[in-house]
Amino acid sequence: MTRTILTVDDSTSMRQMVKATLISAGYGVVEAADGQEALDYARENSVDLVISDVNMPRMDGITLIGELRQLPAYRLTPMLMLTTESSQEKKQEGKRVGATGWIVKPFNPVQLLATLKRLL
Amino acid sequence: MDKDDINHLAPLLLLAVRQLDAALLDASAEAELLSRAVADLGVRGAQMRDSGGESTHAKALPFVADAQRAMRALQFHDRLSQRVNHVRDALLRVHGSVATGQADEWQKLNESIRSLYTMEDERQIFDALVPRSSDRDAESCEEAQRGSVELF
Repeated sequence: MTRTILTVDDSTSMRQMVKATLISAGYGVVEAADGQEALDYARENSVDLVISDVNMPRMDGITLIGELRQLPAYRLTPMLMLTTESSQEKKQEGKRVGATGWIVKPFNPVQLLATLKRLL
Repeated sequence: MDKDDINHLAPLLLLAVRQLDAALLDASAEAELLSRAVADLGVRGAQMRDSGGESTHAKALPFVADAQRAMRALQFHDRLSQRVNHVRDALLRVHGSVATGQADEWQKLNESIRSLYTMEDERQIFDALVPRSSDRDAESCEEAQRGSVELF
């Protein structure tokens, strides 16, 4: 069964590259341009893993993860932050709201796929 | 700073902001085209790798590896856009402060601008150049963090 990954980033080019990486490994991909769009999608559908940027308009990635963790269907879903932010303070914030891991951009496609394999 | 200085400085700051806006807009359309092309090449390479015979599979592997390297490198645009945006927002705050005549609250403004710089190497540059009001924690090297994966 194809695993579906929700990728959330306000940068079109980042979404394109994450999507290409995931599709080339056989994953299904759903894209959202900000946290609110992702949350709206997640409320009506289920996905197997979430990869989200932090800084986005309307709803940031930290708030998104916190909101998703409140939904029973997403209590155990792996959620990765993919961001330029690397401060311990931000990472702790992500951990506190329930992020599963933290990847600092630029992501390495091979490494990203290896991480997903571990989590799914 | 007298009123005449402020009258000259405020529009120059705003000009710098607008120039950065134009540069970001100009670059983003091209970056999207480029990343779409590289992403498509990566997907096509993976399709060749997975659906062809043994010889096609072997030929596709370096093609996929090249596309992956290009995808990693192309993320420079996302990082660059964020850095330019941080500078733009900082200039806008200085402009707001100067234009409203609150330029005497430099320390407050400095801290507010520092909070805009969310990448660690940006903060290191800021801390090296802007006078400090209090001790700030030593932060780890940004270069070492790039591309890192940390599972909680």
